[in-house]
Amino acid sequence: MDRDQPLIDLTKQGNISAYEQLVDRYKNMVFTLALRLVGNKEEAEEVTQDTFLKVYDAISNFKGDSKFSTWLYKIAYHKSLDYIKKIKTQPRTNSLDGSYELDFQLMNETWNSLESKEKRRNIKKAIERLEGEDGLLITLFYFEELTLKEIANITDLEANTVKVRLHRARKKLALILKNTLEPETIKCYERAGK
Amino acid sequence: MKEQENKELNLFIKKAFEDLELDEVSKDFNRTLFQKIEFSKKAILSPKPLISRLIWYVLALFVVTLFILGNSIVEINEVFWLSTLKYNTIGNFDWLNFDINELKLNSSIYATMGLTIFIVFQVLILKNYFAKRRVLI
Repeated sequence: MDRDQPLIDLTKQGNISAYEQLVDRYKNMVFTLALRLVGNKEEAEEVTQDTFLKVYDAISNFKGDSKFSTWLYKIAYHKSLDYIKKIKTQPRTNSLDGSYELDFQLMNETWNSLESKEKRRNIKKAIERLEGEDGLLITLFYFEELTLKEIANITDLEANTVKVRLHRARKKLALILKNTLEPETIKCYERAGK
Repeated sequence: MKEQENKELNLFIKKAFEDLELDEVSKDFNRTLFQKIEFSKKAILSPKPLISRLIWYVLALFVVTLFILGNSIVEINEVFWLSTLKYNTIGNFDWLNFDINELKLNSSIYATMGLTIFIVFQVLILKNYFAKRRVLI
């Protein structure tokens, strides 16, 4: 049985503290996804609030055909798109410089040599530099470990399109990380030379 | 070759994501959210009535009075004050001098009259309400 189901049932009966537990469980993930799309913390928080308000209003219609989280992320995704449309911002685009040739052995060595805090900072910054929906797709796939089918359900895309976009996003992310890690790589070589 | 590269790429990104932490909402997120929920619940559960309770009571009292007085006056007093009125005293209004006693007033007519008053009253109020909100009906 889905671990969210008891809380969903209680929420449907009007138990507000059950809904608060659901909110606590998912608020940071929804916020992160909104942030990937709208690119600003204040706006992402507003989208997150709107998402949970909408979910509360519509929870009686949730029949459990999909996972609660998938249904929630779908609402968050559409709320984010609505927000972007409303404020008429252009999707974020970044030009990426550098060769697409990636030396994974060197990248892995450099990555492993980093402190946890540095790793966190680097991966976060790299995702922020991804354009459009790439950051969202890659977060859903690698962090939330959703299947292609589930991501397709959230974004209303074909599973094959998600697969292609994910591959592109993955390559871009690796390139951004490679560029970020280059100074660290030099330090690594310097340390090895001493 | 390409497959191997994809595999390595996938493994590297997976490893990088192991260190990723979610962004966090502000501390007063829950408070703000549940205030909004409470507000929307109140808005849904207690809509402001078009016709206040007091007006309904007054209307009901009026109709009940109309029934009681109407029935008792017409049935008990043979000469009802309305039937003694002479409208032609204020001009050439002979056509208004109908004999009210000729009218067969019964409970059905009173009920119809009461219903008409309610409907007319509601139509006026509703029309005013929608006009204020610029809703075309």
